[in-house]
Amino acid sequence: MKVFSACLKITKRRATSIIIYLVLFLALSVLLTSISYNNETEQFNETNAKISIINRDTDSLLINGLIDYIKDHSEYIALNDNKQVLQDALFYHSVDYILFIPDGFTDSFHNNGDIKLQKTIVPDSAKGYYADNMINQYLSTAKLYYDTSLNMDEQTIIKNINNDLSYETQVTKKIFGDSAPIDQNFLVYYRMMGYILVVLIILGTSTIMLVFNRPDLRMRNICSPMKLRSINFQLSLSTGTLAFIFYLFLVIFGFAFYGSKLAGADIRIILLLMLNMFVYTIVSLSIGFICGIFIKGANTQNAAANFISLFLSFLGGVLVPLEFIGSNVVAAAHFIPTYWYVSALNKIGSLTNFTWQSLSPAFIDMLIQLGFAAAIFSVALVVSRSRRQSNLSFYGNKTEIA
Amino acid sequence: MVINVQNLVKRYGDLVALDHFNLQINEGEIFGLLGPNGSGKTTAINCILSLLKYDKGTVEIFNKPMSPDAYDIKRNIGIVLQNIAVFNELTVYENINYFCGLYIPQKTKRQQLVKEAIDFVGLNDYQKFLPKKLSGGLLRRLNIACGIAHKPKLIILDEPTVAVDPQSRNNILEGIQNLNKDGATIIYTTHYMEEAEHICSRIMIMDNGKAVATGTKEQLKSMINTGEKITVELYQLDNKNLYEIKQIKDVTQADFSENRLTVHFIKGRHNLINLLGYLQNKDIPFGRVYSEPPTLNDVFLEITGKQLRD
Repeated sequence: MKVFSACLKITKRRATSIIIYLVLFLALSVLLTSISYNNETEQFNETNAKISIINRDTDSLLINGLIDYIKDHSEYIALNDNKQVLQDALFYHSVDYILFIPDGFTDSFHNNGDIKLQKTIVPDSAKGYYADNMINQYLSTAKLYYDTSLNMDEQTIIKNINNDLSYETQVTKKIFGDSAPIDQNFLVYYRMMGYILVVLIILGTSTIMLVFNRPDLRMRNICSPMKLRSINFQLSLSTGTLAFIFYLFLVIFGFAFYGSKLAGADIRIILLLMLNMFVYTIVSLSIGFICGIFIKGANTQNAAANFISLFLSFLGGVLVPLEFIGSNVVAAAHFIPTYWYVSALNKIGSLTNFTWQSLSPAFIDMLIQLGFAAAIFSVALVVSRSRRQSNLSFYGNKTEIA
Repeated sequence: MVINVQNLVKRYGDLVALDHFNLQINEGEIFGLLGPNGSGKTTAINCILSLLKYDKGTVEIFNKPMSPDAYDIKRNIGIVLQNIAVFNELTVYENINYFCGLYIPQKTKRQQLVKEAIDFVGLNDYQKFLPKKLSGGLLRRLNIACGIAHKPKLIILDEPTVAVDPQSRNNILEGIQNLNKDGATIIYTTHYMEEAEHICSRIMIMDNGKAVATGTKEQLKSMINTGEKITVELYQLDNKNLYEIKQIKDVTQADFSENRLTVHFIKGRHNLINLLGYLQNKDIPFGRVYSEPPTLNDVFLEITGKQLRD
């Protein structure tokens, strides 16, 4: 296994640039995971509209009760009753909803009159509907008490209304299954591997292939009694080993960095994430192989590694989530393996049970990735063979006439 | 016979790189392939080693047909390529060990052979050096060590002294002679005629893909009419005397410049006596006298009409 051990030594001696890339990318991935996700999505928060009330009626108990209720259940903004001030507040979104209580509203309310509350809202604001609901709820309850509680004084009515409306719906986030959900930062880390793995494997593979494809060394190896098949096998084995080392390191780093957040997480999800990443390692290796055939120097090596990995990552949803990418681009992304890696990752991350029906979509995505790997390996072989045949020599070395 | 090449033809499109090339090399020889750049030396070597496909002809090494899959034959061949074929990422020791390992799988035996190769080329003090730390001469020695560490029966050296300082060149040539003394048959391609003359037992002169002459250096020189070249240091010589010198028997050319008279003769006897006799008769005082026998360059010049280093 002289070729194999030489490959590993060569990689070790030229590891500096790979280590720099590794450190930079891991730092980048940690940074991205910290900014791309926060735990708020695991909690429930009531939405509060910013409401301003312009009361042009008298200060009746009903109106004061309504105003107090609104203040308790929204973000109350005090504004002067000035047209310009009110318009500016809406334009600059200082308020979502302005409630106008017209003069004589209290009397009209008690006597079933025509004077209605008026409002001005930010167009298409969902919060306007929340405010409408809240006000309607208060007034409906009040109407009910006023119409039916004839012997009750108004202060008691207002107290009862407030008491009735104080009942709130308790929201509990339901988690299916027996385990805690997988940590979102861990998922983002695995998503980032769609970028980092490709860069590292292209760099590692092309480093080895660049050295062994040097015409003089290639010729020298061919002159030896070692079979070409054996040399190629050992080269493939060394690049495969290197890719596996990268994979293992990144998996271990993931556990080391995010391990504390994985307590209680379903081990099956973690194993599936590792399997998906392993499949993508094979895909990256195939990309590394085809790059190794075309890359001719150290400068093109770095450029190719960066260009290809960034292209795949942007289009495949690694660096920009697929939700933010246009439908046409997403349609095109179906033709790159990274898309299927991210797709499988998302499906694994949202798994709540482990029936074949729920697992099969993720497995299909992995199979598609393997299909891509097989196709890329085949293209690499065809290109390699055609390049040999296009040359004049037995082994594809263009030899000068001398 | 170690190598037997018959009617080898290699074409690159319309260009005939090897034109019915024949070569026979016997065991124990240092065989020189001499020719200017582009004469077909490296193409011939590459065809012999099955690195290049050829259009016609046969190649036999150790009396067996040579092919890309002839691993038994390859096991006994050592190659030292014109370009330095070593790994820049491996140390001197690791490089030799790697190339030796392609031939010798047994670790213990290989370690011994690597040590001997390092001793042979004198790289003991540089074993842990990376190639980029070595001078041009040391690199060439490393290149040779990588090619010969497994003790092959046939060693092919393709211009191993290109761009090497004179001291390293002498070391390399001496080493090649020692390899030959140890029993290896050697093919040595070069365009330096002095090297070929110095170490080769037989020489083939190539031009335009053809062998134009083959033999020992004495045999080659005897094939031509060119004789010795005599140079005489003179204080002065007028045109009349120069004209008369040109009329001396067997003189083909005479020039006088920078106080030096250079006279070329065809093969003949008493050329030096005839020339010095003339100078004495004419009372022309002279200083030091040099006589040079014909070189391989003269052989090449007479056969092809070109200089070897054109």
